[in-house]
Amino acid sequence: MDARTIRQAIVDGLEAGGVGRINEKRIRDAFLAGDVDLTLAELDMDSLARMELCIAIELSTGISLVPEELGRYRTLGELAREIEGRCR
Amino acid sequence: MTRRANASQRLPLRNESFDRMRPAGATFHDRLLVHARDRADVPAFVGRDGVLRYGELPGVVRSLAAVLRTAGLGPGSTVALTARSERDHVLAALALLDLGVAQATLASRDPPALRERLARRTGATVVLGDLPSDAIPGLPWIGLAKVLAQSRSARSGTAPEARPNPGASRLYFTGSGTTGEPKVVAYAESDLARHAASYPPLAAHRVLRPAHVEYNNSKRTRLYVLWQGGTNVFGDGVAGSLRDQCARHDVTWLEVSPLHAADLVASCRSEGPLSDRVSVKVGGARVPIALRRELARIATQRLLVSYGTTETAYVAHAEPSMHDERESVGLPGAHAEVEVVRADGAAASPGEIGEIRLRTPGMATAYVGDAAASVRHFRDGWFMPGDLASLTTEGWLCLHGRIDDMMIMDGINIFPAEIERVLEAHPSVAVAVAYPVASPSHGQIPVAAVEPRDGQDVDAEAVLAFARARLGLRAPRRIDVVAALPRNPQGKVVRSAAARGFGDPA
Repeated sequence: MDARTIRQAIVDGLEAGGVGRINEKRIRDAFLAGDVDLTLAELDMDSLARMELCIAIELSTGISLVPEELGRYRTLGELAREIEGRCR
Repeated sequence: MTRRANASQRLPLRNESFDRMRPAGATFHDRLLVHARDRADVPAFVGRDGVLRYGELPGVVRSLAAVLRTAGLGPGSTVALTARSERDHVLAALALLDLGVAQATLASRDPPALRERLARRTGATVVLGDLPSDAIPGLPWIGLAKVLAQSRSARSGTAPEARPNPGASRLYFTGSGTTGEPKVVAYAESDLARHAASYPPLAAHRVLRPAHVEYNNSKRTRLYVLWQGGTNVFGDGVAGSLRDQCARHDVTWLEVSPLHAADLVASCRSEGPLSDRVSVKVGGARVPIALRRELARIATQRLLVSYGTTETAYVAHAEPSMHDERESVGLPGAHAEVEVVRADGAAASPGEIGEIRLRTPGMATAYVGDAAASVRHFRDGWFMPGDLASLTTEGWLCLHGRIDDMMIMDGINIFPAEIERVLEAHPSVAVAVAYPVASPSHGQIPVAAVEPRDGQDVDAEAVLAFARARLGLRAPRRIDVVAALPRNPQGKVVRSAAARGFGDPA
């Protein structure tokens, strides 16, 4: 599974969780291209948004995460690389 | 453990006319004799074989019974019946009832291995069939055509020997079996009489039911019509649309599945609506509000949507004024006890989804040869069909799918039927099916597959957003657009097959 697909799953999950920041096209496109990273702290996700992110990742990649695990990653890029590693 | 709701939570009674024909132990043959006296000129059967009136029917049945008795059938026999002609099937069924012979339908469309298993489960001792190929290994075979011909040449039949228990003849019925081996229930003739007496009034109707009499519910309805003194219209082998058949035979009561209802909409769209005398009863599966509205707009103003089970027979139907987004199946009949309960057995509040339990006169109390399923579904005098339901404040019954189909994601109960209702309200979606993707972390993640409406393009993202706006956390997390959903031979979408086909993570 390529990095772009994994980043798209993350974007879908953030949208489903109502995380407003990712709806800014400039930021979203840059993140999808791997040019920009975002910290989880700046996304200000509540528990439901974290759940939606985990669900979207699992449906797209088959990698199962619980919301508590997201705390291990400082940025979305780190999360994407971890999933990419697990998909190999 | 369940407990009964208190009396105030019971549903109101209605329509006293349902009680007007209490069977009081009478047999079907007794009823036919009453009809022969009171409504001799009313047709009992109408179809390509012509008209058979009530005045003649008891004699025809008794002649056939006499020939069958000569062939060795009597109390203690169990007949596996395969008759492709609907009229012949019903005549044979009536003759077997009259003889005190147990009967089970072995459908001609079923594969030989299933026919054989059903014959063994019901303890069949003989096959009464159209063709030598209908025979079951190890059982004698009686040709139906031959006994029918013999009965026609006989002047009239004599009464069967006195039976110790009139009304005790057993009839075996099989469910549709979409989830595995079909369940089988056995009814005494007197049970079936109770079901017939509880059914909506058909005495003044000419009834067409396109599903073949070999289907459990069709056979029962055909017998109910005769119990009540109505007219069975058989459409078998007749070309033409349902609308055309209704017009040609002056049908006033049409019973269809949602699939046939969709065909009816299509034919009425090109040929015009049904006569305003025709009531259309749709049942056997969920009837989406979009289909109800199309039927009402294009086919009939007299649309009824019904709910019943093989184990309890008819339970409820929604009248034309009751069709709205809740997709109610209406007020239960006066004969039926209907309760919706929580997991702890307490009565659910109005609008709250719980498990439905049912009690009706003459209901089944066990399955034949399936003790485990009997324990699961028959409890404390109730039948638990495994359906999720709620009652509106008006007392209307609404169904929310099968309890086995309910998904739990992160502790949230999610009902596929609710998802499907919402998706089918989207203008580009014709049919939807929702199902779970198993997740180690979240339990079951709801996803859905949809069929486009009239060849439209479906924007899955837009439909997903539409569902999210209406369902929130209970929305599907992925939507697959497919040309055709998997269906069983009756046209019902098979959820488990959809889940197998589309449910894997990408």
